[in-house]
Amino acid sequence: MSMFSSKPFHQIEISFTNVENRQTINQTIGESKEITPLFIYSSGDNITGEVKIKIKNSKKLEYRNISIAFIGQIELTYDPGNPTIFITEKVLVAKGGILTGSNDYSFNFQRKRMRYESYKGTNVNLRYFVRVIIDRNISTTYSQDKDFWVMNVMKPPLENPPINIKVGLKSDLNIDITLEQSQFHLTDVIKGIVNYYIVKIQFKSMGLSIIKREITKSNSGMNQNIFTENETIAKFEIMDGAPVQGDKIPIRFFLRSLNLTPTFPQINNIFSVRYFLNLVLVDKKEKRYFRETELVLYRNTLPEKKTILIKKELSSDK
Amino acid sequence: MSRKDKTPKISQKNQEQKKTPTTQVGEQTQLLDSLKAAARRSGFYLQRSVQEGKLSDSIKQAGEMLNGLRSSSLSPKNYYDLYLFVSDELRYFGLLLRESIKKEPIASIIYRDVQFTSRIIPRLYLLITAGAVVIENNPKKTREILLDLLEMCKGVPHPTRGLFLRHYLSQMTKDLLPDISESEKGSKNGNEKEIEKEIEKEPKNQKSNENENKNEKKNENKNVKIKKEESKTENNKNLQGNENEDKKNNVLPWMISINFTIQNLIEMNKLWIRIQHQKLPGNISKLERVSSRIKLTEERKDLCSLVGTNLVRLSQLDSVTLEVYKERVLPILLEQIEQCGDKIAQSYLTEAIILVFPDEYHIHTLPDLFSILPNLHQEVNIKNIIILLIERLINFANNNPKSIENTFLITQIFSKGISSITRKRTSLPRIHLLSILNGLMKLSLCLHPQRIDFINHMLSSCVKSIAIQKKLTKDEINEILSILSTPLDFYNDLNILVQLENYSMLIDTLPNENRRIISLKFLENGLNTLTIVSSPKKVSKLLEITKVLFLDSKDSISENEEDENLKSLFFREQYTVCRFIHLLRSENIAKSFKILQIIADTFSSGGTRRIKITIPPLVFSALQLANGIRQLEKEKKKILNNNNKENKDHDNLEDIGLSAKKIFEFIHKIMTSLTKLLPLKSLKLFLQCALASDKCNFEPIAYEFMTKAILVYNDHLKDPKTQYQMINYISSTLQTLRAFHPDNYSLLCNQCGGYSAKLNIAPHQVRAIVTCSYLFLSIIKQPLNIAYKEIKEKIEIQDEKNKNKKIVKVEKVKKIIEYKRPSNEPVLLYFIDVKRLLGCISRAIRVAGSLMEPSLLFELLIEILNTCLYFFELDSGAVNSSFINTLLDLILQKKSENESNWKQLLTKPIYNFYYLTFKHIKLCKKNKETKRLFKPIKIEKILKDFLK
Repeated sequence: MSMFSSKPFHQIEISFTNVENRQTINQTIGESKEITPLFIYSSGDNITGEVKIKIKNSKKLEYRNISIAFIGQIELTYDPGNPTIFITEKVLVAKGGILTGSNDYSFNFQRKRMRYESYKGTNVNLRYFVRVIIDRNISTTYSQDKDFWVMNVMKPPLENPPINIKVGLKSDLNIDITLEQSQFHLTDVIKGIVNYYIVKIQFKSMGLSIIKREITKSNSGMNQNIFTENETIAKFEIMDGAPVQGDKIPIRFFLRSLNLTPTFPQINNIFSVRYFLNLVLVDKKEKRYFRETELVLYRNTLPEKKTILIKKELSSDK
Repeated sequence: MSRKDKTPKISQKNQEQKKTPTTQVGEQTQLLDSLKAAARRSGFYLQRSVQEGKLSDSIKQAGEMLNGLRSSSLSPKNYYDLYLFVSDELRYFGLLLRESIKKEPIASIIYRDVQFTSRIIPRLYLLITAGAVVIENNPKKTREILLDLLEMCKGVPHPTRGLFLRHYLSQMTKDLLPDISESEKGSKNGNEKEIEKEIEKEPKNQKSNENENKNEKKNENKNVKIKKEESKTENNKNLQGNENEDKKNNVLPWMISINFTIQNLIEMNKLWIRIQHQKLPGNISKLERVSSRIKLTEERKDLCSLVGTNLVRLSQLDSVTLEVYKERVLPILLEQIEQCGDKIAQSYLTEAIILVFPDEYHIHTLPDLFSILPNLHQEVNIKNIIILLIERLINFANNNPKSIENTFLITQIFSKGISSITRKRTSLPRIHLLSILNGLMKLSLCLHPQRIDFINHMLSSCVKSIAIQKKLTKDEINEILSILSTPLDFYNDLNILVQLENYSMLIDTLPNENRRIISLKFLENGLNTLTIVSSPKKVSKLLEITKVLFLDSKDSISENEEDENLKSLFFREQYTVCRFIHLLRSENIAKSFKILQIIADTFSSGGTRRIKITIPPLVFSALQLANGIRQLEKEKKKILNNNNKENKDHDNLEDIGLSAKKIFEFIHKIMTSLTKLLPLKSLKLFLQCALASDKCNFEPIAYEFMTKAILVYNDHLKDPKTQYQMINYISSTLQTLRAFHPDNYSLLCNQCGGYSAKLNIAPHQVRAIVTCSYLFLSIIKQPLNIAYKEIKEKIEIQDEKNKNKKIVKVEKVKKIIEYKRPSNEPVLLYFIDVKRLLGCISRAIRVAGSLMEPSLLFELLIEILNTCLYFFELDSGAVNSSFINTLLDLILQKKSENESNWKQLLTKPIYNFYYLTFKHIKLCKKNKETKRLFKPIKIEKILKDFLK
């Protein structure tokens, strides 16, 4: 990633146009902790904008080429210098010359197909940005990136069968977990019921965990490394106390209370992000019983422009 | 967050868990204080967020504040304390929600967003709070929200926390439950209008639902394909079925309230029962296990009112009319009670239903209530439930007389119910059954006191219940005593009580000592209320009931009872019996006599100890009756004499063959048993009878009684002193008798004289003989006209029979009176025999003369002198002046014989006696009227002697 190494006497400003109705998402970019609002685009959108290059103090900047690029790339955090660019388009806006004062350029990347959504994970980031490159003959190349965020609305699945899991433990336990559906959009509600048929174990509580599993592959060198990162992004208690035979414990979990992405089955053969629902039963002796099932998530709408922000209870747990 | 990060948290929890069983009171308060402090802290932040109007922050703070309620270390009491504190703080949150909704239509968003809270306990408290605000804001959502809240609360199967949560649910919704208004309640058309209104509203309803919750709703109704759902109770179906179906089934808004409350009650009841069945840790000792079980039971009882709140809520709903209660509320409640199978819950809920709902409802649903009682857990105290119900009904009936229509139906339902309970519940303790029957009896007395047959029936049930089993316990005995006292205290009329055929049967089941107590109470009741029992039939029933007091039995108190208490009890009983028999009498003579005979029969088997006490009053009772008959006979005679043939209401004595004579025969019969036992008393009684029969002019009977008296004297009296006393009694009685033929009279006089002469002690003999002397000059002290008439009759009869006998002529008697007592004191003579009179006096003087003791002799002589002066003054010719003079000489002679030690011998009283006698003679000599009579009496010598 380019950085300003010495005191810069030039300034590059990239801005998007036609964004009056575009929604934004607050994100941190790169390793910076500063939160910046990013415009949200979807596949097929035109990405248009303007670039302003200002040269301070009536100095001169000599260049070979000035180009503007649209780039989609995947970065592995443990291998930062080696991003995989899966999509790119470069437009040359100026060739050979000297820059003084203020110079304006524009760009318009038409109907870009952006299959992958932007993603910021633990070990992997998928970024989209517009990059301005000032190519000079002798000296280093100046460049400036401007990120934007990509979200794609997907069609609801044609079939969305309920999930039914039976859990038995010898003759001590026989429960039946039913979720009304198996695929959820990101503001969906997980609804279901846990039926206790036989319970001889004294339970104390039952809870849900939503686990995000991010698997990354690195192709550097000879051996292929696979990293799996499991992140519990929510813990949600659904039962307090010991159920008895015949009890039906309702499950209702609002996915909108979490910061979720759709399920990414396989992105460019580099990473995948999947979500799992983990049902955890805890007995009186703190012994835990798990049952995991995958939740397939899809995006049905872009985030609303105006929301009442409810901070996740989880954050207080941390 | 990775999984490793969680471990410390779990181990922390572990420590908390381990503490729980050993938590002491001090630790409890410490824990409570710290939890309260934490809640107060969050409450402070909550208030700040509320003031700043920050909704999301408020939700977060409220959630934190509620975290304390997740504690499982607090005792129920302390948990309740914390619960109150926290729910109070939650009001601020509710306030904010209300404010927010006023500004923006975000009710459903709030309802959704509070559910993001990750911990279930805080989440549900917030959800309930929010739900209440949503309903308040939009009553159309009432049903939807209430059902959702009920459903979500299922997530807390923990007994205590669940109970409090649901209690909070009930608290928050109590003012929001749709109810029928007073006007609607009144009008019949109210219900139909309500339906129409609802149907009109429906399209709007659906539209308004087509927003945020659209998806949720559809899912709720469509996609739930869980098979078990189908097996839910009908009630549940009603609650969960879709809205259109509800409309068809006439589910009105107020039905929602009822169903909601009942459902919550059912769930709370389940949780409450669960406390009992919590498994205890396996590593504790048996003793600890028992004590923890007891502790659990007690904790449970502390929490009962939480469950009961729902019943109170139901009773407060105006829509729960009698009809609704009968058709829709009670059946579900009863089904739940029956099914839950828990003894504490069953008894608590049944009693609560009885207490909470109006008595009027109970009256109309009695069969339903009774239908479950037999099926309750064997350890449920059915007795308490029934007694409670009975007490309520009695109270109601007393406060609202005439408001109960078919009173007998009620007791019949009770009766049937109880008999089915006894059939099905073999473990029902006998004491409980007895208590129940006692209660039922009280109810019956309250509702329809005239139905004696029913009381009788219950007595019979009591007898049956006792007949089968083993010995009665102390408590059972007390209960039976109470049962027996119930009708007694209620009616306060023995005449009604004797109609209870089974009363005596029930008494018979008791041990003797208790039978005596109740029998005594029985008699005392009669005495206190002065109830006259006048039918022979009733009397014999009465005696049957109280027979333990009359009959001799093995375990009755023995004569030589050393225990003073028992002894005095025996006497108290018998004296009560004595007083009591005077209440047994009738206006009708024949019945009265019959009654006496019955009493006598009963007494006759009472053994000697009782007879001694009880026969005398019976004799007097009979004498009284005889007197009554005598009066009747007299009146009859009068009527006949006046040729007045008016037939009065009096008994026709001849028809029933009853006369005073028969009564005397009866007395004679009952007296026979007494003579040997109680000679002295029977002697006196015979004399009394003689007097009575003499008044009736029954000479042979009076003669027989006199003879009996003398026979008793002869056969049974051995003590000289008693002999002396009794012979005096006999002779004085004899002197007053007037019905005798002079022959018979003189025969009896002879006997008296004979026995007097046989007395062993000389002074006794002298005095008795002197007393006898009076028999031979018998005076009648009665108003002249009556006495005169009687004697005239007598003399006429006697003249015809024995013309040679010495009889005082009436003319002569009259003369004496006129001569002797010209003033207001007429005196008549009845019998006179001068020769035997003088014989007596001479014999007395002779016996006295043989005495060795001069002072006693002197005293006796003065006594004899006095007697002679009496006869002399009457001027009957029996004693003349020369006899008196001789006696005076004798006295002086005896005095001079002992001149030397006279002063030592003569005591002051004797001297005074002597002096006063002398003074009397002196006075008579001066008196105008007696001057002439006393002239021949010479007192000069004595005067000289006195002057010495």
